[in-house]
Amino acid sequence: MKQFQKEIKSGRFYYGLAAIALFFIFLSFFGIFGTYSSLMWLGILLIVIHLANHLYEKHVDNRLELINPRQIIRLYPEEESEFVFRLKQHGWLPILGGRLILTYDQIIEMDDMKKTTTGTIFEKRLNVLGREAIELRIPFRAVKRGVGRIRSVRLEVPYLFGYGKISLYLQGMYRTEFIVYPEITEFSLSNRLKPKKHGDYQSNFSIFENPTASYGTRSYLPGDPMNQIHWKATAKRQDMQTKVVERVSQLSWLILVNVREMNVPSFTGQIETILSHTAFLCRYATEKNIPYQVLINVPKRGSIPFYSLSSGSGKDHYAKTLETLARINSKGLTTDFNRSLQYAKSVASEHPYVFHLGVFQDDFLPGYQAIQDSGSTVSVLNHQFQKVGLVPLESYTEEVAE
Amino acid sequence: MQTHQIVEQMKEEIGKVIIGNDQIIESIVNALINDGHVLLESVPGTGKTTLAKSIAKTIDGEFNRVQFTPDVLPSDVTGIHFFNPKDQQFELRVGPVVTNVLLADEINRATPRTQSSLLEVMEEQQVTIDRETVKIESPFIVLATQNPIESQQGTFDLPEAQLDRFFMKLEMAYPSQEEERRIMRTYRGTENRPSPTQIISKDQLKQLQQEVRNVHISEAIEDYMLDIVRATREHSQIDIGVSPRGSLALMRSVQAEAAMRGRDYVTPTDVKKMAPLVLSHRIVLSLEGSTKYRQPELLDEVIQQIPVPVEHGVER
Repeated sequence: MKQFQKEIKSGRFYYGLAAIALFFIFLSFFGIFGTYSSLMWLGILLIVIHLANHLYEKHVDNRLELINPRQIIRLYPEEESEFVFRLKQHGWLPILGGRLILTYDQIIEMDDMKKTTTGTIFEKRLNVLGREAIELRIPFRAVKRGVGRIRSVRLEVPYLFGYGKISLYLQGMYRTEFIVYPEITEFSLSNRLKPKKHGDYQSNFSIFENPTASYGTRSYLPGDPMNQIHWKATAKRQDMQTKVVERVSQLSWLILVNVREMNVPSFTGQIETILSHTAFLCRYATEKNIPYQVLINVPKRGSIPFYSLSSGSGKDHYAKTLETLARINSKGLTTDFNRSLQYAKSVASEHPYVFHLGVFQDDFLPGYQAIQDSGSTVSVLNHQFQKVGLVPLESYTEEVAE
Repeated sequence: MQTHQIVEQMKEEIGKVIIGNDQIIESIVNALINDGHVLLESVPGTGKTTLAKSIAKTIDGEFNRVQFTPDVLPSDVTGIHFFNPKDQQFELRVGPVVTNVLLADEINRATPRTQSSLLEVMEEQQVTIDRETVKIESPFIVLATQNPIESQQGTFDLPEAQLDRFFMKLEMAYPSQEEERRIMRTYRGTENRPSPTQIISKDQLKQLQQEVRNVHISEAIEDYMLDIVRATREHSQIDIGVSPRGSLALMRSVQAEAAMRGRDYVTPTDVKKMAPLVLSHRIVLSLEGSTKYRQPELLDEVIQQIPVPVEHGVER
């Protein structure tokens, strides 16, 4: 199947040339043949040119292939990169003096771009000889958070003898996607990693132990429980041995992000800052190997009707988080944050630490109070006095009341 | 029998069961020739376990399988000393690792501690249980499978040291439409399902391994491989580059690749083909790098940047 849809724009001279050619041939036959033979040859030449152009416009894209694999280019704002545009002419017809015209979303910027009403346009000259493959490396710069695509690809191919042009429009989508992550904005984060519950996070300082994670034995000490005695090791050494097990705690975070403007269903104007802070918190958790779950009140289909990243840790989880943050389209609508809070109450028992980022309203207090009652610590990201930092829920509400 | 003939025969035999994925079969044979372990990764349902079982059937030798789950303990893999009340003595009962072909199915479902129980056996072909060391007869190959999409649900990423011990990591792709049609037709009935037969004996395999060692590597190719390895160690987005074990694995894999093509010398194309399979799982990306690239993508970028050696007098 052809990849391109063709649109032919012939110049006035295209048909005029054919008419002139026929006129010359007519004259050469009905005039004095010998005197005007050169006129006939000229007519034949013009006919040949016309036919060559006709065949060219008909077949130039028959075996033209745009290499269009699915790929994602991920960047942070202000980062520069390039994408490779690959075109392969399997046939013999060359494209000389062609123009590549791309329309793309405004989360990226390319050199020599033009902004129009339909989008941002980039143009580049290209030549492809017959049975040749070319690679155009197109540099670009990430401008703002979001997900973008090349919306249209158009190749403008001039006629072989230059009095008209063929426009080739890519059918379907150009499959390269650009993801620009949110900027990571740091804020003060005091050490809140005190073990509070039994869990599976390894910690040297926890009071909790995982009885199944035995990594050695030590000599028995009076007071060691009987079920901690390693009977096999005792039998081998002929000396009472107690199992040494790993110390563990539960240390996962639940991050709730409210991106809704107060009492309005649209996004808050602070959305980029909130997402930047969320990204930082997730990066910190990843560096400390702390599992985290993120809930954002942006609508999504499914059993959980808003963005929810299930609990996880590690680099892959962090990459997935950044991608989710990048995919939030601030031109859409949001969901009621109380729904996120309702869901959070059901999962809060798995997370000893709960963080609130974004707009805070008084009607969230009962929900957060219930979470605290279940044993979790709630902290709110406070922007007061130009100092950004996490503060306990109680301090935050007191500060706001003052 | 020549190396490339054996490869063709194995491809044909395994192809009865696994339709498509010829490149994967070739790569596994490459690992087999090098006594190397293979980590097979793909989405569920692409035939990883069936492929591993088929490979095992084509080799003369013992085959064992460990189905990894979170409650599998290191001693379940390596073996234990158990107290025999009859003799009033401790007796050694070796685990499934003492075999020729070990299928470690869904390896990332086991805890890192259990995964690490394979470290010694994969590198040194021996297992130590309570101060007693048991040597394992050659050939010894671990074919491990893992599913990449469940990275957070009851699974544990393999530790770097463990990954480094895998000779290559292979990602199985979906079959093409025509291949999938053949799969549907082959497995339509429940009877007369194809099953591979033994192709290669232990002695033949040892002989092959000897032959492959004689494949010539020119200095220019050596430099090319070293340049790639060095570039991974100096790349800004990579925290840990390829280890010397990785360089050795690359060298051996390109020798086997050349032998499998019926050549007694290595070309840069062999290096370009094998480097992503042998090296990509050995690099550890930085936190920022891991948010932007996958390991094979970054390695591909590194390979693109290294000039390819050409014969003297030929223009680049």
